[in-house]
Amino acid sequence: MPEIIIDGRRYKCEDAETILDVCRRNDIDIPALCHHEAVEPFGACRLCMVEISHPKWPGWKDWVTSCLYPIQDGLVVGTSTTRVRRLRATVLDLLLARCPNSDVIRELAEEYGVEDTTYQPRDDGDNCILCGLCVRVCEEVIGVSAISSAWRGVTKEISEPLREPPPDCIGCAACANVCPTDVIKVTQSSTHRVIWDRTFEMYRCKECGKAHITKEQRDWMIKKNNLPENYYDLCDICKRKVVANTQKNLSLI
Amino acid sequence: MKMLLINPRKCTNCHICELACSFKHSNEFTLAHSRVRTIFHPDANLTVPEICLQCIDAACMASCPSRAIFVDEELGCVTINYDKCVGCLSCVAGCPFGNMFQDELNPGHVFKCDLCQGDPVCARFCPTGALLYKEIEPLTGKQQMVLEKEESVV
Ligand code: FES
Repeated sequence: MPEIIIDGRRYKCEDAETILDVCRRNDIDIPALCHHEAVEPFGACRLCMVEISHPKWPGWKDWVTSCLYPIQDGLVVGTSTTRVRRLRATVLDLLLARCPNSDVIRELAEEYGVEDTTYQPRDDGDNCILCGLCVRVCEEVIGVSAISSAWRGVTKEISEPLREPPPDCIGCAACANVCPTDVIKVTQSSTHRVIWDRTFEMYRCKECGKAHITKEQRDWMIKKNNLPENYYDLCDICKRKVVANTQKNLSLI
Repeated sequence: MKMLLINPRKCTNCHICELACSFKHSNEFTLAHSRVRTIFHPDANLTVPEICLQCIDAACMASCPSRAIFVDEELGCVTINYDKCVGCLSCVAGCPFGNMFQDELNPGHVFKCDLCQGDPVCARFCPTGALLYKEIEPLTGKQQMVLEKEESVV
């Protein structure tokens, strides 16, 4: 079993783990905005930088993104050396210029001593840091690829195809839930959900009208898991009532 | 393995399990945070406590697209890995017994019975033994409700 040293302490790890995995497992705090356990690491936000060295590489150090760097036996990791803090501060300085109104970024920046950005802050636009987590979750987890990144360079953005309500979206709102800076807006009522400018009708309980998922998500899950048509017809409360009724009848035998 | 046993015949509809569960998980006495819910049947004068049955091949697990739900073998408990959860609510809609809950205040958050990591407070505080957490021989199939006919409370 490989062992690595993080901030002077020895930690046992599994093969094929990344530095961030080991740190998370041992409650070592590393800021990471674009990382989510459900998807492959991507390395977009560059906040999880750490310093690495190895007894076999005398006099040599490197600064890498911990979410992407696979561990190797004997690796020496520094998670908050001066240089690492400076690197993160630079990244946060840039992120703050991009999203001056984001509370998440602002708090993180303050932690690293960045009160105000040294660049020209963007005065229009949203709090998107272009980490692409929403796109990856939609593609890798949900499997519908309703959104993607569009354009390049300074004009890059996360967008629906042709900026129109995305036809493939099933309205599950997973993208909004994982977004680290809460950019994706969901409006929910008991009958409808609006996300990505598209209005979805909720699939409501046949008995009481309570809804958990949209019609599109229901169709998609029935198709994907090969379920009977009436599988999602009841809400959790009504399902509990049915079960309780069965249990009542059993108890009365 | 220890299992949570439900005996509706002993339940007096006192709601202590719901309150204990809610307090354990949210430090508040709110039924909305409880993982166990009791359902009263006035016709039979019987109350049935509803709680996760910890199915072996759980439907919530099968419907989760991010594989965030797994069975904790040691505890025999179907468990959510919140680091992997993306909040799509497939599990809430997918549980055929309605024992997966959506947080009403935080719609992307789901919760279910976690057996309190091996000491379920609902069973600990149940005054009549309608909920029991005890060592039993593995039951055949997934059946969890044990009908102790002769012991039923009058
Ligand atoms: S978490 Fe590693 S780069 Fe974003």
